[in-house]
Amino acid sequence: MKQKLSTLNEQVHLPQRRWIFSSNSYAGNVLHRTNPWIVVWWSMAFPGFGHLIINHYFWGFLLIAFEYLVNNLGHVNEAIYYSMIGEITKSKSILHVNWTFLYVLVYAFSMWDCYRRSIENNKVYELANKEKGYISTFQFSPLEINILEKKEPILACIWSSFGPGLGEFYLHKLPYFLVSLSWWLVVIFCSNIYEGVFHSMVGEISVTKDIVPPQWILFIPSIYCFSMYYSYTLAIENNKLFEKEKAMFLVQRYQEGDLNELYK
Amino acid sequence: MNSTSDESEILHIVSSFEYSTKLELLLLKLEENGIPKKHIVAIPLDKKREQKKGLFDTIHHSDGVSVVDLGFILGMILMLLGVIYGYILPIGPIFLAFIGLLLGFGIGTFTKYLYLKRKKTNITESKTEVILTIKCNQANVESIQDILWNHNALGIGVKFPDN
Repeated sequence: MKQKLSTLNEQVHLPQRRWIFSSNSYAGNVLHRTNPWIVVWWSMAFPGFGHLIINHYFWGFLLIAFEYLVNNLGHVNEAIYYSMIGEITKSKSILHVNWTFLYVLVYAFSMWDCYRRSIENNKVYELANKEKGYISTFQFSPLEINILEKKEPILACIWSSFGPGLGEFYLHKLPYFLVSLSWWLVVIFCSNIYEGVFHSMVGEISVTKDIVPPQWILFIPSIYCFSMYYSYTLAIENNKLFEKEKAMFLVQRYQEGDLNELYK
Repeated sequence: MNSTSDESEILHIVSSFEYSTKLELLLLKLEENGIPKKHIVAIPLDKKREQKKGLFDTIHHSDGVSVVDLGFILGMILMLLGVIYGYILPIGPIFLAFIGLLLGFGIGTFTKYLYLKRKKTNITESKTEVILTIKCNQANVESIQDILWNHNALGIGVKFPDN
């Protein structure tokens, strides 16, 4: 039966139907297995982050923009803050109902959507991985060069902890870097985070509490942790792809000699 | 040089490597040094036994990311709580957030590590990824060994012909 199937395939000459790596000189996109619940978790932490993990950059960027805009318009973070410290009445008065309604709808949708996509991607990954198609290792354009090369996951993680997006710079993800850098600049200036860190470090903690608004600083934990987790994950997937490509190359190019013959 | 000229002088060099672009440079250099492609055999090794688990098992260890995912999740949650309660505690939002991050990451990663260990998952991978065998002449063993060492060989073994 197996034999029959393979001869059938040879006859039809099916083109490569699925592949696990797509790249150009500005970025690469690696299809990989994900745990749907982890993806949902990151989507809960920040709508859009879940989509980034499962290769949907454009949807991710849109949802990230949505989160920043509508969360701020509805004062959602501020409301979370006041609820958590027990000032429920203040929390109720600060929420804008229109924007919060919209926020909740899209928030729930994005969680459901990335769960669904994660499962679809996993199925496709299994099939694409079995096809063992061509993996491009080299993309060269007049403006950029993108080489599939081993990267150090810990290093990517550390760079991301210095500045969200730097790890992705190291991993050569130009669009992601530009988007995350622009938003990070907005967050820095609206949240006064660096000034807040400075005043905390010189011991003026009350000044920090005054100049750092809860609405903006509540974005930072998810941005920071996701950025570190994401660049670590990307580096590992990049390395796995690199090894897969090398193994395929070696088998194709350097197994011409017959070992029985060589060791005779 | 023709390595099949004298049967008694033929020997085999076996060496092991990690996957790297340097390995490709090495193979090119060996060919430039006159080793025919047919005399070089590279065998890529699988690093782990292939997993036969269901596709939607909750954790895919093979992804390698799962050791830290819980760490970052707990890190984020505790960091967020740190920011919020830092405002009403004397320590302040920045320091408490930082403490929360470290604490959450530490607890999460440690827990996950113990969990994986209990499930007897192979967390550490072997370093050897490729075995390379080269058939060559006794005369150029030294130079080939030199080339191999210079290209980050993990280990080299030579099988001399029986006398």
